[in-house]
Amino acid sequence: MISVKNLSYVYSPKTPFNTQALFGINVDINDGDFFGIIGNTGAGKSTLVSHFNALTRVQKNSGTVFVDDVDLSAKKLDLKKLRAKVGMVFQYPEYQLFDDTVEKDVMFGPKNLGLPVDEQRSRAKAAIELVGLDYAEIAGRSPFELSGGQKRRVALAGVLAMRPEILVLDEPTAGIDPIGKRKLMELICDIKKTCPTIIMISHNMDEIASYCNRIAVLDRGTVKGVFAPRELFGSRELLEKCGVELPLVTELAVGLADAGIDIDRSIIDQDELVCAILKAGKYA
Amino acid sequence: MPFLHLQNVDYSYPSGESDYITALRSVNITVERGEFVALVGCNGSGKSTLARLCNGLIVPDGGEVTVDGMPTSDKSALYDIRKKIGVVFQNPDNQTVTTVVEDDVAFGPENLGLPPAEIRERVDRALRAVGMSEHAKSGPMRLSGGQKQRVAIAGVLAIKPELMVLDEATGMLDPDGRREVLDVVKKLNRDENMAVLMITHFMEEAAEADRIIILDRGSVVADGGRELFATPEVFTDAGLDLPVYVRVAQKLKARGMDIGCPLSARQFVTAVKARLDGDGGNV
Ligand SMILES: Nc1ncnc2c1ncn2[C@@H]1O[C@H](COP(=O)(O)OP(=O)(O)OP(=O)(O)O)[C@@H](O)[C@H]1O
Ligand SMILES: Nc1ncnc2c1ncn2[C@@H]1O[C@H](COP(=O)(O)OP(=O)(O)OP(=O)(O)O)[C@@H](O)[C@H]1O
Ligand SMILES: [Mg+2]
Ligand SMILES: [Mg+2]
Repeated sequence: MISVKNLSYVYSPKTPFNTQALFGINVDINDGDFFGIIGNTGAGKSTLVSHFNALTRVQKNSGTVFVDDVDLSAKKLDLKKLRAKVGMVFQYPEYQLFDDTVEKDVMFGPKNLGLPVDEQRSRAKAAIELVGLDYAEIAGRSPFELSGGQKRRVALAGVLAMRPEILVLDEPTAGIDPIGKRKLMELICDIKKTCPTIIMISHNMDEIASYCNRIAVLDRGTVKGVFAPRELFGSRELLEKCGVELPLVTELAVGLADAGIDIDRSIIDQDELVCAILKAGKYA
Repeated sequence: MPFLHLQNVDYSYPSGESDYITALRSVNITVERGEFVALVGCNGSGKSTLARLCNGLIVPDGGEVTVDGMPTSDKSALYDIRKKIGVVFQNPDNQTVTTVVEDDVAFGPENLGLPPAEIRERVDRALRAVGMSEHAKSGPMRLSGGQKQRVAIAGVLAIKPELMVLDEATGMLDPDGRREVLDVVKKLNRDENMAVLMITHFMEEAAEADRIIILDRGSVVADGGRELFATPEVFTDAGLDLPVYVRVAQKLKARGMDIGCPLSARQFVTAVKARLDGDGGNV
């Protein structure tokens, strides 16, 4: 479980460039959550989650972050242990890549965990296949010579090979093609069986609505609230108050409701929309 | 003569000592002045390679790319070509060259040798268009992911190109921000006749273009208007999806309710409504 209490963060403090990115954030992420974080450009989403594996350190007198019983505001932290537990895929994961072949890159995490070479390799192979890349074709290539979407997949594989308990994904499907997006989300659900807690930042409301059980809305460094998907997307008031857009499916449902058809405005799933339309037309 | 013309273009990247990776194969594409074209395709299908070819960052191995009649292989024409074509590349960090946002945006217009007053006006206007005026004095490294993308877009807007190429330029923006940027681009397209070649993974966005080009493993497999969605196989065979309203319409059809192929969310609502009203509830 991750527990954030009264967390603030200032970039470049005590300089003319100082920017306060977080203002007294409180949020609890429970084991087993598929936790969504949404909010406009610059809201502080990446800054918040980068605390979870201590990439960003809790500043002095700026609140606390606990990962289970580990206090991340403590001076001394076992970073190796923390980062094996909390896997993080960055917003621009292409910068996570560094080795001269894809395979070596993905093996780096397991190697750092002190695993035997065989195990490093087998984990790398499994992870590369898991993210939908052809191992034989790609293992020996340089990660820098891949297309944008291919690089993102390799970066995800690198984190998965560590077998983390908590996985933090900063816009995991940005830059992935549409079918790949769907497959990646299915994959993440699969991963959830062994890595039960997933935290996902996304601008894609359809993904957020379909997969997350709880959603935190960030706005200019503060938490506007934490909601269940239907609670949020079914309430015009909340959406307006939080400045959140509708999932595309919900937009269709609302469009139909506005046109006078008897349809629930909080529909967040395509099949559900199909059933509701058929029912309205007495096809069902 | 088309404004942008790719004729039989081949392109391969060297890989290892003696190997090659073919990225584009006999590609023929035209973009006319004032046209709004979407380019879609799977990861690795060659879209970014095509974007790099447009402004002569790379030149074809075979065939030719011309911009307003000038071949990109002619080094002496590159300066003129880059005045006419502005490319927002997929990864904004590769483009940040200076330390302050407004200087970064001014880089293009300065290179065009414009007078300072004109540069100032263009920079202010471009930053306003992408909602980044209040960050004019920030360092580009101090921005969030989406803010960097906005700055990259402003940098190209300030050049006032005749053709703007956007390579997944809004992939990191919130839905509101994506809509805003798309509206700015559409307005320039409509009011100032700026042509647009927009690479995107969002089929709903592609559906708003005048024409959609589909790339599949380095080849053009379809090139046509929105009506392409009525033949969904061309998308699915290329590993692509369909806009959500088309998918829901397909699912309705499979369950016995045919509303045709809607080409926008609004058309979807109208078609469902017409169908339900027409049936009069007596089915
Ligand atoms: N390295 C940095 N130095 C100074 N300020 C920064 C830095 N990184 C981010 N900021 C600022 O902190 C605020 C929060 O940024 P953050 O990256 O957390 O936003 P975000 O919600 O992830 O946005 P996006 O959706 O665009 O990725 C923004 O105002 C941004 O300008
Ligand atoms: N610098 C490079 N060196 C070698 N091969 C490359 C390089 N850049 C791209 N490729 C390869 O060329 C092909 C086309 O890549 P390109 O980047 O054009 O694809 P894309 O359609 O833009 O994909 P994405 O949607 O993932 O951005 C891919 O097979 C890719 O691996
Ligand atoms: Mg971010
Ligand atoms: Mg690309």
